[in-house]
Amino acid sequence: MNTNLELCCPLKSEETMGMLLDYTAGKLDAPQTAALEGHMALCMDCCEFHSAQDAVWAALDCWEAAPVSMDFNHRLWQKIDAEKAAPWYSKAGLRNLFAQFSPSVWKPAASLAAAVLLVTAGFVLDHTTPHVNVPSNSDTLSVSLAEADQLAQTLSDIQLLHQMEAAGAETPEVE
Amino acid sequence: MSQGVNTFGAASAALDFDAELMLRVKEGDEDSFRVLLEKHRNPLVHFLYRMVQDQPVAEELAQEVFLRIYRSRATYEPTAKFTTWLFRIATHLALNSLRDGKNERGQERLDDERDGELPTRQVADRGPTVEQSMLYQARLQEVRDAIASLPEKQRAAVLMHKYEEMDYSQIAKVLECSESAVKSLLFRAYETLRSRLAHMSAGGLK
Repeated sequence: MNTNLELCCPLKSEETMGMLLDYTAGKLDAPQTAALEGHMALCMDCCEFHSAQDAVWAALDCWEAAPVSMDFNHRLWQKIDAEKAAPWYSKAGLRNLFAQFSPSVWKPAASLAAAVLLVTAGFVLDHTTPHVNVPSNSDTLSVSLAEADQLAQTLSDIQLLHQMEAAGAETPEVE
Repeated sequence: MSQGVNTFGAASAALDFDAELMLRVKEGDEDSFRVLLEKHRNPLVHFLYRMVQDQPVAEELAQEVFLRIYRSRATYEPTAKFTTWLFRIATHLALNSLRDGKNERGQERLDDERDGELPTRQVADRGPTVEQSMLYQARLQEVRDAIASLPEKQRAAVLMHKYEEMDYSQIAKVLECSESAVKSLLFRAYETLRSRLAHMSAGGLK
């Protein structure tokens, strides 16, 4: 830190202004303090700066923090014990992983995903041709053979009926 | 415990005591964690309280800081001062809390509850008069408002500089920026505070 204050006023640069803050905070060593006090005796700007900073310092001193709750440690150890007893899938690592996706991240992402899903579904429905069961060649062949067999059987039956009718007509009636 | 110190030996000689304790926690020594908790609980809660200006939120955040420290024990490496690590986590959590606006509800409650206690204590017996207490409350509120009006990083820098008595290099490590950036933050912050609080004389608040 620059202590050659006769040549350079601390207020002229942010680097050296720290000296004035440290002086107010009582953090300067004896030689630096003596040098700065000597400078301030001649420099009205530094003197005013120190006076105002001193007032701020005193104002901040009056703000005492509230005492910590008596059960702070107890609550903390309860949380630690709960974590130890928790199953592996609820451990902090996984939780932290999901915690990274805060609502501000996943809400727009969920909306986007829903929109993409709708567009995809629309595209698929629009471009899908009606499904027609076209039989394969082997199916066609097997169906045809079966039909031919059935037809032949039917013709054979008809022929047999005709033969029986003819035989019945030739037989004399018995009284 | 002394056995633990010997185990780490010369390698840990250069470490700060907190880092040594944390290395013992890494080895499974929960008593060392208790020591760290006792040592840093109050400064941490006070820092967080001044950051978010809400005591229950500050305590919740402080608990989260210690939980994270405990969870990280297995992978802990003493690459930085323990307090730097501690306050870095705390600052991140406080800034997130402020951005999420978690402490808005508590602010009013705090004003009602905690500040109400002080005049009662001071009015008793030979304490200050009601007028003095009211004046004190008004000025305290002015200080709190002035701190709250600072941008978040400036606020964190001022609180670490003023109340935790950290030097520029440590504040820079906590805030993950350069020392000159910290000086710049502090100057702008104190400039704002001077313009708002300089009318308070040094003895005017007591």
